[in-house]
Amino acid sequence: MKRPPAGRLVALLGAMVLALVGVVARLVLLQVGDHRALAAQGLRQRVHPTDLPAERGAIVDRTGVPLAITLEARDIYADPRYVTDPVGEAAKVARILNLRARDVERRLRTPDATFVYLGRQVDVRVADRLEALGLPGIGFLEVPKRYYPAGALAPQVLGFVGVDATGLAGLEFEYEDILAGTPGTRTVELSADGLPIASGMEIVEPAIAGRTLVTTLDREVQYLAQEALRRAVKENHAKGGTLVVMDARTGDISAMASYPWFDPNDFEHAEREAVRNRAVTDMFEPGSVNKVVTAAAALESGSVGVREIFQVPWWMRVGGYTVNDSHSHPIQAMTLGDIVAHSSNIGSAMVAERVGSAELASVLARFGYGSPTGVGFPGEAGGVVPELLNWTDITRATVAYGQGISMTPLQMAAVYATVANGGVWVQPRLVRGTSEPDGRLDEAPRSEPHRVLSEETATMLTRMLASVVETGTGGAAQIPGYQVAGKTGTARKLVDGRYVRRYMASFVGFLPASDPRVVIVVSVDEPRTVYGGVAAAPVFSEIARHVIQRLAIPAAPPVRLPPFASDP
Amino acid sequence: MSLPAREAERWAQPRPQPVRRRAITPARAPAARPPTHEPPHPHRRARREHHSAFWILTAVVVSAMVVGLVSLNAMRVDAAYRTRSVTERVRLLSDERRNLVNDVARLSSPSRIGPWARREGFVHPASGDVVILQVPGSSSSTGEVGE
Repeated sequence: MKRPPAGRLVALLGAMVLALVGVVARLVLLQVGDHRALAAQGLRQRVHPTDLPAERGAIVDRTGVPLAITLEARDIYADPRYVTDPVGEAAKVARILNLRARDVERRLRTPDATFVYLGRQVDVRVADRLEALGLPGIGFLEVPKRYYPAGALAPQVLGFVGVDATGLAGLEFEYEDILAGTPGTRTVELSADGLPIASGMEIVEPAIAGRTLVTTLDREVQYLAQEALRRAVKENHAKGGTLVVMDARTGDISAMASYPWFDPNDFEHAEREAVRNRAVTDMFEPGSVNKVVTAAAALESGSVGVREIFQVPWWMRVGGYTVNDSHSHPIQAMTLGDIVAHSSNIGSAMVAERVGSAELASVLARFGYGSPTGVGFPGEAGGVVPELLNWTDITRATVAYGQGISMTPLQMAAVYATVANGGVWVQPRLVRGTSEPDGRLDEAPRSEPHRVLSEETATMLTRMLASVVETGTGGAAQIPGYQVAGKTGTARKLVDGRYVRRYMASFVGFLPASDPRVVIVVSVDEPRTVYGGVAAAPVFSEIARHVIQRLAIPAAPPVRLPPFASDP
Repeated sequence: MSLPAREAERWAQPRPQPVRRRAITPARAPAARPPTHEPPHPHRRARREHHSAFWILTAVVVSAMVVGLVSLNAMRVDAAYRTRSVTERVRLLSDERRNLVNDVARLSSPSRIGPWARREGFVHPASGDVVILQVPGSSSSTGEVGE
């Protein structure tokens, strides 16, 4: 065989070397130059991260009973391209999901669509029934659903969450950070057909569940209070009503509600008016329940003695305006106790005149008028108090009997709790804290109690408030075996800057008078019988009887009533 | 015998000269080689035995490694499946627990029991029907408040 010319061999070798160099160069480019991008691309093709939603924390009452809980549910969707029998499938879906077959069929026939919802957050058991039918083109997605097992119980306090499991109102909104938790991720390696490779990479960063929010609400007290309020509103043909039940010593709120209310499981159909927590977000002119502050200012400043007698007419002129009592009467001799017990507007105005605007405004500010209580609720109102510079004689007179200023029912509860506590203001609270997985309670921070009144003043005010129930306008609040201290209120409503003949009837009180455990505020909006002593005091009595039994509040010896003008 | 010694011994043996093939010429018949009946060299037999043992040992070791690796992998896959299954079971049990907690809360809710009780004629006890006793030491009663 003839040996090939050396030139060809060299050329071949050169070509092969060139090819090899080309391959090596490409390899270097791929492995060194673009390795990051290519490795990332390969990883993206193989590795698939999915979000692991964090379980939303529950909201429980003070005894640990769930008031809001997250359950598994299903979103049901259809891919119209795969639906073979729209009429038949629509009939079956509509029957199980309780929808109109025509609506379902229209969705199943949606042109050019690959995804249409048939139902959202459907109960798992209902979805399972539908899934068992194996209808073509119908799919299911696992989603969480917030559920309120007690239904319309404290709905304005608890609030609700949207379909994306985010709090939209109430405590659900206020404590979103605590309740929502932190979502995790699960990264798995997928095969070419999209199935997880059993021995492949799997990195799970677990979701951190939201914490359980422990409220101060008591489910039983809340229910009984709501029932009493609902009945009172119906019987008085009122527009609505609001109540607060609060522990006098700790500020813990056992019940809070506004009627009408709504079912948070079906909040989409709730009226906007029913969603507001009026006890915290709505202000009203307190009326005569504010006379306790006037009396407090009088006693604290020492400008009025408890035995001092005022000659009180039934009307008088103040700064060009006429103010009057609710009923006409001849000039009466009244002590401060009489003025509070019989709820005399003129008497209060006379006392306020003696106290002076500055002192009265100072006491209002010390009680927290004009500032939110910091209860931890979204949209809490602070009330409105006129600037002291703008006070006139008529301002002072009207503020003395609770008109011309506004406050929330919760603020009023805090004022009466201060009197019940011997003059020490305690911050109201709706949330005790969060509970650890082992059940340990992590207490929420709270502001320090502070003294607003001297103990002597608080004691005298308690005696005056007890006299309101025993001899005055609040007789309907009496409870056999227990001494109640409280005050009625009937305030004219301000509509578009003018007072109208519509009223807010209120009763605020605490019991037992000598060892107060609970403060209750009841206000009835536009009752047919306008007086607080008629419309609201009986509700107070009914709620208080339930609270006594539920919280096992023992009776305490009665306090003595204050000096009256009729005393010998 | 250690391997380097054996190698040295092997190198000590005379190396067979490379056979040079010559072109076959049909004119001359090849000379018949005398038959050789020499017994195999004892070192060569030992080497062949060594080779067999080596290959057997290698096969055993490699097989064991392959079987071990495959078993290990199978166990890992099995464990992954079991973990996934247990995780799923835990999830299902958690869901079931939540459902049961919810059922208990719903069924014990006063808003469900209250209306039922009213329909059945139950009433709340009047305030005089229940007497709350003061347990010594549990709560202080301040007594009558003086002027």
